[in-house]
Amino acid sequence: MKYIGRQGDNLVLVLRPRDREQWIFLLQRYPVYPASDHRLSLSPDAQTLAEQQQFLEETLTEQQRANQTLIEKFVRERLAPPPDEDENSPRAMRLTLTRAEVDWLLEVFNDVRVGFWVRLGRPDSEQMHSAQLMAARPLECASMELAAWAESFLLGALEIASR
Amino acid sequence: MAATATPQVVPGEQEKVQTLDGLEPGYLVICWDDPVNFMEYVTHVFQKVFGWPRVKAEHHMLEVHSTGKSMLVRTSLEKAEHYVHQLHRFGLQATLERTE
Repeated sequence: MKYIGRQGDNLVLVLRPRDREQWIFLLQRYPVYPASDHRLSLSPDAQTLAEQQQFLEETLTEQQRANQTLIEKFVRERLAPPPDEDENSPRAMRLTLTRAEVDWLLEVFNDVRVGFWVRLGRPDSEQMHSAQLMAARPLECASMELAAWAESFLLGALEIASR
Repeated sequence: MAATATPQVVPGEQEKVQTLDGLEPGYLVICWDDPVNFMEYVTHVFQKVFGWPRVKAEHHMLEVHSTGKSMLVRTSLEKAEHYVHQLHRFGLQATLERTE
């Protein structure tokens, strides 16, 4: 992945074939963070907010459905290889993203990253990078790392673009 | 909170952060620390959700990172619920708690 520069308010990136595959892999994992795992309140009388808790879960579920539709469209229209591309020698692609698209991708990649962390039992920083956990749950750990890489890249691009 | 860099808070800017003292009772929106969300990402989300300038967003992010939580706003139930929804949508651990 490489940040090329700004085009107006948009960010111009180059994705190598492997980056594109990784983005598609991550986008197709979404959603990972279960809506039912989100807690509205920690107070002892949280029962009094039961209706609001249910509304939170419904809202997040609805948002996830909308994002899944957007992901399908994004993968189909923005990450598809050029029609003349030889599948045996794929080429890097140029991708121009609006700020809203960058925000949305950050939201989706972060859901994948945090969602797998939740699935792993919310390990602390030390446990999260332990060889034992990586050996036991390689798919989850690798997905988290890929999502972290994609997120860091986009955050870095936003930072450079804002200078 | 996972670190990828050390954000700098501009000296003197913290005084501009609105205090919660002296406001009417209502609901507090609290963001809790976790080891997974990047510090820059948390700052980015605070800016997006609350429309805060970067300095204020970083101040609250650092408070979450160093003390385990930050009280972000005190407001009505309806507004607090809206903010908590937005923070959860972006994967942050946030709750609303009633104030006395």
